[in-house]
Amino acid sequence: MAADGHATTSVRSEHVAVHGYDVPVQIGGAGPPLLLLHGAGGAGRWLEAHERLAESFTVHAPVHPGFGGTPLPDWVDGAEDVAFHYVDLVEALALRRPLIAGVSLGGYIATEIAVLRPDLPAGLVLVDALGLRPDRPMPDLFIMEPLEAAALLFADPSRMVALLPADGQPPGLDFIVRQYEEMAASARLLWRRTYDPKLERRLHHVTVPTLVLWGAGDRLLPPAHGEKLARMLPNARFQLIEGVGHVPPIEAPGAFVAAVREFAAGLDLGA
Amino acid sequence: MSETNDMELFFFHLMPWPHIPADVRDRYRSSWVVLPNAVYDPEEGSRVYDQYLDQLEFADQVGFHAVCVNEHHQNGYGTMPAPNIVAAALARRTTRARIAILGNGIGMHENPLRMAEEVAMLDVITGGRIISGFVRGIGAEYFSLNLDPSRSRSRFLEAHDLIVKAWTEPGPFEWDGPNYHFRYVNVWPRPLQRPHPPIFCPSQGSSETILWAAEHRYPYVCTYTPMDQLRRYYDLYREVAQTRFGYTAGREQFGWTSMVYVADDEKQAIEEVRPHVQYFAERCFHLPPHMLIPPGYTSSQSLRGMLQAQAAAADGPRDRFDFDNLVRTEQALVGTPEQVGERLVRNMERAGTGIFMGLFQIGDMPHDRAMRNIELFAEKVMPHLPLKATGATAAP
Repeated sequence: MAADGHATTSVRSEHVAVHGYDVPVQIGGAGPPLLLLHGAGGAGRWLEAHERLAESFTVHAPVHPGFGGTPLPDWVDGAEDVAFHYVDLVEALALRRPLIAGVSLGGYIATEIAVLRPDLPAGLVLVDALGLRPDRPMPDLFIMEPLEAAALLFADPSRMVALLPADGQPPGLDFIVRQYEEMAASARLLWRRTYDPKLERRLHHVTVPTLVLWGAGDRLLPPAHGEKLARMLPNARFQLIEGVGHVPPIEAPGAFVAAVREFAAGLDLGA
Repeated sequence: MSETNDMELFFFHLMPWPHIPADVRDRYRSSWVVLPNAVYDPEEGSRVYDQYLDQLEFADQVGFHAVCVNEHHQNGYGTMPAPNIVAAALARRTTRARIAILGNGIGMHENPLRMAEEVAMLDVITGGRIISGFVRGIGAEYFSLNLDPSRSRSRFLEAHDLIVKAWTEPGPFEWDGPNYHFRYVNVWPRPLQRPHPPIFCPSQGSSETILWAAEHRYPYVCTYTPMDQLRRYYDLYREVAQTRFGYTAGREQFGWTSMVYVADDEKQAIEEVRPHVQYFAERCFHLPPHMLIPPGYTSSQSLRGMLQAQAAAADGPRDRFDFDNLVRTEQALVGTPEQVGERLVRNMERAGTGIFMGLFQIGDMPHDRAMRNIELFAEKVMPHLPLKATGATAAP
């Protein structure tokens, strides 16, 4: 069973070696390959959104370097380094033209992958994605107390419960240390800049069909940012999900998955 | 009591801003990083710098072995973002005391060679009176300077290696490290002290830093640490010095820091200093834990240790800077000259330290009160301390 009580079918955890670096990957479901890249929270979790996606796709959900108890390597200096790393992972997993979806930080990484290798994905789903320089400064999550950050990220902060320990226990020492490690890994990617200033001149390389999916109530990066991102991508369409904030897959897994399925239906995806 | 006269007195100063608003805790996230600099008044600042420098110069005159400056950025806690500037201001206005920079945040700057050059200049100008502390900077500084805290230790260690090499090996040479690259390292001037100015390591007690300091035999100084905890840290240093690095760490390798306030009467001393200590605790050190230890600033192992120690401690973290708690844990020595002298010597024995670093101007303490405090300490406490003769100080 997943934390939310959704019945899981056959998710399995694998460890894939990429140039000697061990990458935990959760794999589940059946259908065309989907590489799903998590945000700054939620590494290694198999939540309702994963479960529903697994009904239509073979979901591959890797853990970013430094997340989920993995060491933060020296070679990670920015999202671009993680993108190179995932190009290698896609090859190691022998995924042929996967759909690549990324949420928030994961959307940033997905964008960098597509810029780097426009031929690699069959389609791209960018959900409340970081990466493009915002017109207005993004609030600093690192300086906020956790509850303050949650209030900013979620339309309904009580939905943050999905990210608390899966066993339902109050956060203990291990959980707190793990959170700290994952914040450190996020800091490596986002502390100095929350965006890649070079993307603006590179986005035109991303000719692959792209769905830019945005929480209508995102207060970290408002929908206008997503619309701008969609305009700058040659082959993108913008879609809002009502009633949710920065993390639609957690706040509205049903609407999120429906949007991905509808988008994927129009693509030529290998099985 | 030790038979030898080997105690060294360091005069510590933070140069706090004395006008942090009383409601700072309600209105601002912290008195660091985000406290608006409109709170700083440059005209008042000019007067305050003048007084603080007078206090440091006075400490030299009355016989302290060293006067100390330090680096903190964008805050009301300490208005010394550039400690080498303050050291330079003191260089020709002091004559006997060493000038201890505790320390330069060497990894916080894009160019550690600038640090190497400035400290070498100061050492030459002062005729070799510089003590060079190296620090990582506290977590808040990583917000203010937009530095990735997850690179903090790596940058600190590399900046240290680079500076020491620049001071000790003939230039020019090339430096090619993960954080810094210089085609030409060729520092002019070279420092006067050989092989280089003594390096001190002020720290908050992370085990990695203790091991590193012990390995290099650098004098280690913990600040704002209750006596019992401090002894555990110093015991760890002594133990690894012995077992891992094969030497016995001497008292001169340990510094102990405390606030000091003396008056003729104990009750009077407490009454006079209490508001200034409270000011320091509540306004200067208004800094939530996640800003003090931002992500990646400390290792998982150290974080785990800290959280366990905190859970085991009788006092919650909020009480840490309460006046009575600071007195109880020997972080503030307050009383008559006899009482302060006795407690000072006893705690130096308990901690096995040879260097005492006293903070005599605390929080918003006004100039005349700080000067009286220094004067009374010099007249009535210092003559009874087993002090090392001045002029034969810390140089190894």
